Amino acid sequence: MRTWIMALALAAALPGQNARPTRQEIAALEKSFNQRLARLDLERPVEVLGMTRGVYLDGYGVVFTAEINLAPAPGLSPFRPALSKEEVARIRELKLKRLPQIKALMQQLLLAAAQSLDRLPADEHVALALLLWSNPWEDAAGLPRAIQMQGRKGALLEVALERQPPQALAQILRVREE
Amino acid sequence: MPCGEFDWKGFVLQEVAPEERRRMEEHLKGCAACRQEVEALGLTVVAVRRLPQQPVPRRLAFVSDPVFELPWWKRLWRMPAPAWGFAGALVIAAAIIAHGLLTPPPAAPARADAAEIRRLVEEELERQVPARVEAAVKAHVAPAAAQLEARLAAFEQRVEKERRADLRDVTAAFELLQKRINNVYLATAQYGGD
Repeated sequence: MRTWIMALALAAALPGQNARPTRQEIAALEKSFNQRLARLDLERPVEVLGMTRGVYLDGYGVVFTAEINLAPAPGLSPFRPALSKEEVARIRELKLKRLPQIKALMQQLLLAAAQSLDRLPADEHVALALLLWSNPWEDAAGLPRAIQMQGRKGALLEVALERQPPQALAQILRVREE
Repeated sequence: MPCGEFDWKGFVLQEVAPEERRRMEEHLKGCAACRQEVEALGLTVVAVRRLPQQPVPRRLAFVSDPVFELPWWKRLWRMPAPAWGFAGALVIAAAIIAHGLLTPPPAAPARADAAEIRRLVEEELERQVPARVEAAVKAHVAPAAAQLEARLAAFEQRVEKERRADLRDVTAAFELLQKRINNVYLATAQYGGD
């Protein structure tokens, strides 16, 4: 009798485990993403303005979103109504310099998510969207306001487990800049 | 008879009496000095007679004669300056007097009714003053007003542009601040705060 009860309970639990990632798994990844984004440059850290939020979309996969400021600048105030042209140019230069770095970090985050999300089916996706904050007074020409990356978990896992070279990410990931 | 008593000029000019002439000829034979004088006089007579014959002027003139007087216009020209001034003053005075005498007196203004004149003047003023004032305003004030209006419009545009930029910056600053506050709330909640 006790054996039947255990078998029934196991049978009821198994489909639930494989159906979708748990909130705890996603929350752990959110925290990890926040830390890794903030530690991109320890001397002048990236400011995480919108903490990472992850959500599972049934049938599609897990989508993470976050908002960051690539180069925090001193705020304007009545005592400092405007920044000089040199300061604006310096901020723009720093952002342009960090743009490829943040893209590489996004790839690493997606690979890490693919490895961590065990319950996510291999044919579903892992997506990460980063909103890039810029002040109205900045020279934002050539800087995207958002970067989206997404790829199938199975393909990402292949690269993460080094079954595929890192160069394969160029075909695996779909990148969109706005 | 001594040499000085003979009239040798009259001898040369043959103006002495024949008896006197004979005595003078006798003397000349024995006096070399008188002979030399007579020869000199004779040469003079000969030289004078060789001069060309000139007609005797009919009329002799003297400095005191009226012929040497200056014509009236030259005498007038040589008149001293005070005399000129006096003469000019006389001419001007004469001209003034003549003008006063010859010019007819101005016609006496026709007497008109003062009230009628006043009414006409007021009507004319009412008719012309507004139009002239308006024209003067248009000529002087209108360009300045247009210029002022254009400057005000430009100033308003600039102020509006600056105001929008300030509003945009302030909005962005508040948005950024709100995001940071949200992060603080999240961190507090994650670490067990209220």
